[in-house]
Amino acid sequence: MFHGLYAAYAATSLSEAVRVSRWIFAVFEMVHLTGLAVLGGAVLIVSARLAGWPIGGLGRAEVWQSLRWVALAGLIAVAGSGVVLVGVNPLKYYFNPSFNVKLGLLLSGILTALVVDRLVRRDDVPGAWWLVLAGLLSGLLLAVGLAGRAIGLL
Amino acid sequence: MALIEPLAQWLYDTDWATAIRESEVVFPAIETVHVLALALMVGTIALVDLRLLGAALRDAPALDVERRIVPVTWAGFALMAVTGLLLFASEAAKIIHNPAFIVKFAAMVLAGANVALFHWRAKPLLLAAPVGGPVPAPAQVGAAVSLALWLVVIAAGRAIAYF
Repeated sequence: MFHGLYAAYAATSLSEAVRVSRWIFAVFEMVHLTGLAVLGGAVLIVSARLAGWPIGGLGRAEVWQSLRWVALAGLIAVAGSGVVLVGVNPLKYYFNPSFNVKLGLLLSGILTALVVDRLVRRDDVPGAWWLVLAGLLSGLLLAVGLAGRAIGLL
Repeated sequence: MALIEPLAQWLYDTDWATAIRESEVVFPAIETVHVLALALMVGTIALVDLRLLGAALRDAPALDVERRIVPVTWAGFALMAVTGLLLFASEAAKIIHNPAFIVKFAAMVLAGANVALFHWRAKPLLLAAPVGGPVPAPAQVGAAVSLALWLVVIAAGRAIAYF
């Protein structure tokens, strides 16, 4: 199913433009890394607060509500630029194990964030859950970064 | 350049820089840590800057946010500096002529000067301002300049491979 999607993408003018241009890939790599930095900063501080680290007298929900937009902006930059970067050779990415692991980890991170979003305003959540969610959020993002770096090596 | 070139060549020729350059594992591993440390550092700087600009964590006093987050930024900086020095040494003889590296280095120096200027001029104003009140304009200007300079650092850092 997905093979057809990647093959169709390879036939688009966007994919051809990324392949031919010297600079499109480079510019979107810069956007990708900037998005990762923004997303990473927000996830780290949110995770730290979820785990009990105090910041400016703000509760978990306040920190989450303020920084989820920053994290979302970073995620949009990472995902949007990522789609363009894949255009350089979509089928190569389709068969790359690191890329598929990265996508799975990213999806897991998004699902974890949705769980946090549902729980963060509740006051009946055991403290240990916050430690687990904080570890999952930051650990998954670190793993996404490592898997991303491994794409070019495998 | 006359002073830098011999130093860069000496670094490039050291045994450890050669070992990093010639290893298929060590260079990518150091580069990976460098990129993640840069993301950690710039990501946390961006949060402090966004707070000063009133775009994030608005319900917390700006100084509290800065006091809590900046130690994490310094940890990221330390990791980035050590890995950056190792990567620089392994390519020193070539990279000092790379225009993207020169832009990256200049932007980092300017970002450092911006931090010094913030502590010298803007932070006293922030300390004197009422808690929870508006952030003084010089601090906001410093935050905007900081965001712009770190974007240049990231962009130029990625561009090094293309020159």
